[in-house]
Amino acid sequence: MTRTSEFESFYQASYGRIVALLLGVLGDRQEAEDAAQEAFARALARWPRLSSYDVPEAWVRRVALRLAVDSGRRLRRSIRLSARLTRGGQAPPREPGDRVAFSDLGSALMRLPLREREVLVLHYFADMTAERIAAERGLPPGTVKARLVAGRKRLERELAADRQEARDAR
Amino acid sequence: MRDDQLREGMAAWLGPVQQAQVPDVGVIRRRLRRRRARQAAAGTVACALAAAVLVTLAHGRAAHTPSMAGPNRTISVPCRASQLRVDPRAVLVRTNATSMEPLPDTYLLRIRNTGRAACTLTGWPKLSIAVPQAMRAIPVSYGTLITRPVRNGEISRIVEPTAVVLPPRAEAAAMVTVTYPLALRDCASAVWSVTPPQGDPAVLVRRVQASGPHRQLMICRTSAVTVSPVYPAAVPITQNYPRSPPRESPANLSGSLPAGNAGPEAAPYFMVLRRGNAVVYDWRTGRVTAVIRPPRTAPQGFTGVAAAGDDRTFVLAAGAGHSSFYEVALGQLGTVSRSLAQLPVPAVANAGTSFAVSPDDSELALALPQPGGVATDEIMVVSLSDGATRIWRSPDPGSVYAMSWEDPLALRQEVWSGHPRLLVGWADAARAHRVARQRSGLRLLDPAAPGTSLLGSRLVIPATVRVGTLTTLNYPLVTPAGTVVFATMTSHAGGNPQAAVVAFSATTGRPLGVVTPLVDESGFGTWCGALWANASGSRALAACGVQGMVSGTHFSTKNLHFPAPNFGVGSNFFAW
Repeated sequence: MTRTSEFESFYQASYGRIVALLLGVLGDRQEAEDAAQEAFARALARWPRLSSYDVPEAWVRRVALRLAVDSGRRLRRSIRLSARLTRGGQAPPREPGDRVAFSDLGSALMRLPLREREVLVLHYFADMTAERIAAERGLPPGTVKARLVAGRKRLERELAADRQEARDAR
Repeated sequence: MRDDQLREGMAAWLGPVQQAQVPDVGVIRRRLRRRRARQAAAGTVACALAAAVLVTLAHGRAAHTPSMAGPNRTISVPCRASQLRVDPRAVLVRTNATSMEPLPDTYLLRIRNTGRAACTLTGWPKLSIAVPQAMRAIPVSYGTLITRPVRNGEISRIVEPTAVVLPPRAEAAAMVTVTYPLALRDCASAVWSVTPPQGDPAVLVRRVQASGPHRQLMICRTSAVTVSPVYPAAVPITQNYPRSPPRESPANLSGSLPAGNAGPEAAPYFMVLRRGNAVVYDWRTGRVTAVIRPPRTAPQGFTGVAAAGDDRTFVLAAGAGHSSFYEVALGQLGTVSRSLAQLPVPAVANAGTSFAVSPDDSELALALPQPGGVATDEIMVVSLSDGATRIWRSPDPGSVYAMSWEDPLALRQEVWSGHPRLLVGWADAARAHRVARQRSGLRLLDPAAPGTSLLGSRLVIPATVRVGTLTTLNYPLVTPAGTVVFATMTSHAGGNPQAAVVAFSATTGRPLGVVTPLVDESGFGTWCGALWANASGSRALAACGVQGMVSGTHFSTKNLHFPAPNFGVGSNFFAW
């Protein structure tokens, strides 16, 4: 198999996972695809070296998450604005095909700080342990665990607030 | 919410996205191309800004420097052809653009505003070549624009093409890169012309003077009066833009200089040609230990230098046209212990830029360009004891681009009774491209073997060799034991060409490893190549963007104080 076809196979196999992961972190499909494609473009530039890695997807995921975090910081203001609008009774942003899920868990997740959202998605969606997240993100394991706990608590509060709002609306 | 509920919720939300259709991989490829283009543009802008800052710092406001203007600003009237004078004393410089084969030639065309008013020279002066039909397809590109003040001062490089305001009597210089085909014919009829960008009539750069100090600047393979197409006599650019030469000072020799035989880490001294002189450096301290001036009979200065195997004896070529060769020896402290002595080398034309002295200082190998317009180099080995010569030729045209001797005696534990072999970089220009490809590369020539055919030598590393994305071979260096060959190779995989030094086995021709970091090699970047190697090749010194030591294939950065030039000026501009 040539390197070109190797990369294509790798890209076809892992693109969906990376985009889904980034969507969980960013809450924006366009931004997620943009960050994912940028990460894959960088991977393509380094493919002769990356192809020798045991798990090239880990490298792409790390780059994509870093891009997503940068992008997320830029979007923080707009996300917060979106969150306030959501809590103000307006319709939350919908994802085609994900309407129900995005309306409760997804929208609550989007109101969490980016650093907590990131570890929650990595842990509960990508099934990564706290130690592995710590290794990939270059953080102390204790920090990752603390963010997981704090994120869980904050998510519970956000979901409870959403349920209360729904009851009040009725 | 329990953990499993959270997992299910996330899977339900993000799962469909994961299963969505994947865009074509072409999207990624296009994005990568755009990214590389952006990086290249950013690099150009950064270089331009850095150059502008350097110009400001170097000259200040008082200097009479042509000012720069943005492309959208008009400061003075456009220059007319009648007020521009293109100096025919164009300087030929060899770039270190090892990524291109054949190597391009870069010419510095000096343009002077002879009018009474300032004018603006916008964009690159267009250049065309009035040539026979066979040469019409020669690619020409425009490089760095260089401006300099009328009076003495440092030259400055301005990378970004833009408008340059030329005050009266000010000069600008355009760098033009021309890639000639290997089998260029009839170069004697080449005439340069420079067209001002405003569409005025072309200013012809006719022939350079056939005599005088500038004759050597544009030496043709067939004639001394026109542009040299393939492997011209290279002249350091600093010859035309003089700077203060390094001074020999007793103070420089004080302190704890390493002894000449202080261990085998590396040869302690190297020699570099600067402004026609040969300057000796101690690489550990960067101190100049000696400055050797050319003999009075060769006022044009030294044109090449090569080192013998004892790391103390150097052979220097001097003079334009028919070169003379001299030998000089250094003492323990790097000073001259035996002054210049002329060697019994027959007077041959244009041989002063590509030569190598055998490790025992008994023979000198010269690459001889032959008249006829086509690159038909020969190799001549001259015995330095009695002046006897022997010549090797190829049945088809071709060029010798580098030579390096091995020195089996350097491995003292080996009993060796043979003759040292000569590594030759050979670019074959046979009409059949397939044949030319098969013959080209690094070849080991055994001068003790019978025969006079250059193709009787052993092809060690073919020119078609690839190491990952690295291709092309330049600046080869064979280790004294003849077991390892270091060569500079280039890669186009990352957008901008990049260069690195690669070690090969001289026995099998197989690559042993890339021994230096990849460095951007834009054609005007820093020089990249191996500088010195010990007998077995286990340790070497190299400069490739950064300078350092190579142990095995591990590179560690170390300041070697090697004045790596921005412009490579032939393969013999230094000897280590």
